[in-house]
Amino acid sequence: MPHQCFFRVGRKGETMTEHMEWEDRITQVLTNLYRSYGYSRYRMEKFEPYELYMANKNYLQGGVIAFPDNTGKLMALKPDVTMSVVRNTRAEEKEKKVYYSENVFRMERDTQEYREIRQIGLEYIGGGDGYPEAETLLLAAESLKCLGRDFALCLSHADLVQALLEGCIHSEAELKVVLQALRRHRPYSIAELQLPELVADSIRTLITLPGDAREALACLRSMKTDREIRPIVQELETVVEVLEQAGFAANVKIDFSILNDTDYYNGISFVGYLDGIPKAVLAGGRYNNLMQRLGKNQGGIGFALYLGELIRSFAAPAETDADILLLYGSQPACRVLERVRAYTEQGFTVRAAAEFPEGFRAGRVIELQEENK
Amino acid sequence: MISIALPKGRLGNSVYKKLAAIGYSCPEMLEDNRKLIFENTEKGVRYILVKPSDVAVYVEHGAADVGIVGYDVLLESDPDVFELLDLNIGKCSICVAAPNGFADELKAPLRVATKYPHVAKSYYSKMNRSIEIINLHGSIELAPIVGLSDVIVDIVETGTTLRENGLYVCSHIVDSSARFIANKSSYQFKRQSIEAMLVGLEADT
Repeated sequence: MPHQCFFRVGRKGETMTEHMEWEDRITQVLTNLYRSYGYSRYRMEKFEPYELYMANKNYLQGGVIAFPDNTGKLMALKPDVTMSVVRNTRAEEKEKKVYYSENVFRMERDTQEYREIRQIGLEYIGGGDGYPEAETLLLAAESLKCLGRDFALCLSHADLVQALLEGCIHSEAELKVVLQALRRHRPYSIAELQLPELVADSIRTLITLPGDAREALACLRSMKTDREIRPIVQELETVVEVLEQAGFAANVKIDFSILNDTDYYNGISFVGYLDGIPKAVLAGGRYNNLMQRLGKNQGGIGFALYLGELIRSFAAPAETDADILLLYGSQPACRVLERVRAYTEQGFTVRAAAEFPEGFRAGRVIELQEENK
Repeated sequence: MISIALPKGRLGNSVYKKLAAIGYSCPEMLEDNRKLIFENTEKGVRYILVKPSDVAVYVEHGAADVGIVGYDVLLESDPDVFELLDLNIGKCSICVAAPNGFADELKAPLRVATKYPHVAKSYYSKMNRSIEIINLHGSIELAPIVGLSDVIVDIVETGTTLRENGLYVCSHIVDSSARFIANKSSYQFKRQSIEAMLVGLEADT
């Protein structure tokens, strides 16, 4: 038998052999995790009506690949899963929990080129605010943990920023400066604006929050403001507590550089980073506003893990193309197949070839004629 | 180990002196050689010397944890990084300059030679002025003199180069100075080191 290396991840300790590709292994581990919390698989159509995305262009922050079908109707090559889940949610569905493992197609922000993006994620529709939020954040942390490296799960809250800025921003340009200052951790640009002192100080506090979540929450609690932000801070505290109790105290951070479009998102937003990977690998948040825009009354929260960045870092190149290369020369097909099946039943991967394939890397080469010697 | 992308040239040299003074020295940097990577394991620092316009690329993609870059470059390339500090050095402005006596008569799209196409497009679109961008990578001042463009959009420090080439500043777009930037992921995992560096630089500005 070939060497068996077990990949143990998740609450129930699923195991798989190293023969599986990294991407397949992690997909299986994560989908098992989501299934164990009662999520069912959501399968998305490859093509969806373009009008759905046209009406919500800003949500995707990038172009969609569109084409006319044979009736002339404009279709889109699936650019996003969440919107599809929301669209397919019925009014009478009080609670819906789905996970997905899909490839989506859209324009990448930094290259401005269309890319196929591999995503695994989940959506929790309905069910109120408290539990769905706690479970989603917990599963986001568990998903990052499955990847086996130090990680950071950074939380933000759109309502807090909105509450602080309400009535103080007088132009789009001013709003852009404030949001850029938050997104870029750029406290010095706040001075360029004519904001009330209390608001400017609050924004500076958000930008310079300490790395430790508890210390950051203490700063938010003691922040001098005339706005009612206590329920928002309380909501963040609850989530931090849930994550602490699950053993993720060192991983959770409060970071208001995470700002999603408030036309679609509200409440808690979050991103996940893995040590050694330069970009966020997980992103999610509450999207009740998107639900409303699409005519749904329920709330919604979810996240997606982006495998593209991860595959580059985690997927070690295979040392061999197959365990056994079976060179059969002019032996009859039935004899060759008999041997191939025998080896595969023993757990080996086998490539049968009449002659040595150029560049092939085999663990062992067996010539069929010599097999019985 | 924290890796720092520094722009080659005067700005990089000046920032290195600041960093060395606050405990991030790497004496090899001062030697006359053509190396591009310098490391001082004792101080836990690695310097990467790159073209000024590439600093943000190295930081955004995680090849360096932090870097020093001009605000002009950040405006042009809009990288997804944290901009933690304005160092208040390397000061200059992005301006529109034209040959002495030039006046825009609005008869045809304005030909703009620049290495800042996004900044130029954004500036003229706010004025609703149609333009034709001519992308150049150096000696921008030459373009209007030889008839390649009507105006240029470029950085101006003292204005001497413009004057010597018979150009004048028609309009000022934005001020620029050197910024201390950090990769968003590195910031989460090396925050203590990055903040220690930030505090040191802040005290020095």
